[in-house]
Amino acid sequence: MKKPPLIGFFAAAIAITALAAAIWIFQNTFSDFDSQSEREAAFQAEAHYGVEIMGAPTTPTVLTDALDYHGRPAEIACATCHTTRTPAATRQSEDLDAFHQGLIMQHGDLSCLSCHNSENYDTLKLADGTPVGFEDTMLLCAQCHGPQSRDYRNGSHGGMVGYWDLSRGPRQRNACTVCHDVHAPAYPQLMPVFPPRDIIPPKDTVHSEH
Amino acid sequence: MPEDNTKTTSGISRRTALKGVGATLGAAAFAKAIAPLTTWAKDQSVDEFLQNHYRELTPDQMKEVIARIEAETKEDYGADVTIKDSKAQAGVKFAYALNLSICVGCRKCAKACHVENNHDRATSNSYIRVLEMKKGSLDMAHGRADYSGPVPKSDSFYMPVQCQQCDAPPCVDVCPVEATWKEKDGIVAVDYNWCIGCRYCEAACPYHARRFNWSKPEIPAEEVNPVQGYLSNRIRPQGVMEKCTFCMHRTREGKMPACLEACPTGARVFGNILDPESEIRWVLENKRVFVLKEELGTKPSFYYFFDE
Repeated sequence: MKKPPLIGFFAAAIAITALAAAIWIFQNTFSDFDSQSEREAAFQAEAHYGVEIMGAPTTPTVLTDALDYHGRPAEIACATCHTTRTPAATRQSEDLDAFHQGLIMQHGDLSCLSCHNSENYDTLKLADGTPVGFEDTMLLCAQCHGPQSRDYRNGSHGGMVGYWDLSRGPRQRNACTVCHDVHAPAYPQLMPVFPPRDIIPPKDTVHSEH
Repeated sequence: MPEDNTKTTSGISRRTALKGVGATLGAAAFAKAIAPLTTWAKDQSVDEFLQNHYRELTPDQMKEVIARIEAETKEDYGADVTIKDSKAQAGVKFAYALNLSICVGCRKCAKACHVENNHDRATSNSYIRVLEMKKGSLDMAHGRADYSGPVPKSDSFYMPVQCQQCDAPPCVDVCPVEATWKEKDGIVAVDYNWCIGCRYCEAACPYHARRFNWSKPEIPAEEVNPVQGYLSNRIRPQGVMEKCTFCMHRTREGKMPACLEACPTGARVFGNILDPESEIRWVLENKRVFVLKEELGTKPSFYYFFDE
């Protein structure tokens, strides 16, 4: 009786092949998932350089029309005058006197005190009255400009320099006020640089000698 | 016969004279035909002529080639440059997105490209062409690159166009000598020393992204960007094609491309499309992006979007 063992042998061989194939497919499928999650984890772990925001404003001073001891235009802190003055809730920049004359205000229907904190002129304030420092102006802007703030936080608004790969180097980004004048924030028109020129064979090549 | 004697004593028959004239003209034509070889020999060394294809160079050969090109750059341009052969990183595929809502058309990207990539100063070459188009249309055929005056104009929008680093690049398909190919990180690269300058790729590109070096680029020594890449911004020889490489010499070192850093509004977003946390992925997942001439099936790695 030769046949039965032979059939058994073939059946066993097929079964072993099928098992090996199943294990191979299983391993490959799941090892892919593993490497995928490992890769994602690696991306997060590797990002050890920071993103620095450049040019955020600092607590301001205002230029006076007087000169100081050295003959330079004197700058004074806001609180120098505003601790004693009654705040004017004006929307018209023409109403402003002293050192604020000529300020151009083109920013919606905001009044000065929409952003400036009349309790402490060295700070700004959010719509709910929470004081914020000048260096955190972006919080203030984000109250109205949600989509821009969202795009900024996700890296698709505002100029930047440095590394796309934060595991290899840092990145610097502009604060809102680097490009937008806070009192007239519309991005200004500018003259384009670098006009294009037609690329034609220059006259002095061998081809033009004939 | 006296007449016959005269003929034989002159020594040159009509037939012989014509043969002589023919041979002289032939020799002159041959000399003229091979004349370009003399100028070619002046511009190209034997080593360069015998150099292998980029992808077949061994690391040692690559070192020699780079040393030779650095020396030639010093000789021709008087500039000390460092040429690197940065390789594609594993797990990185580059993609670019451009926000047409905030591009103001200032062309600073084109200028940055010109400076970064050692373009010929005389032709103001750049890999970026900024098209001005009327709002409400997307008619690239009528887009103007030669606009002037303050930008952005209220009735126009601006679309910078450069190499789209297609996943199915027609320029690669048509190259008869395989001097251009797709790198692992998605960049379509050119071996400037293998290119024969036939310009098929220039004709095949639907985005007008390839440029031909009609003349030897002229750049003052102090303006040469010394940080150079073998496949990207090293000074190209005359008679070969060149194209945007997403600033391979920068981006493969982890840096942003020069055009992005020059953009004052942040209209440009660059990154690794395989990194789920990257800015480029956020744009692709959250903005309504489109690609140029999608119907051609070129599968660009360059995306455009509007904010609204």
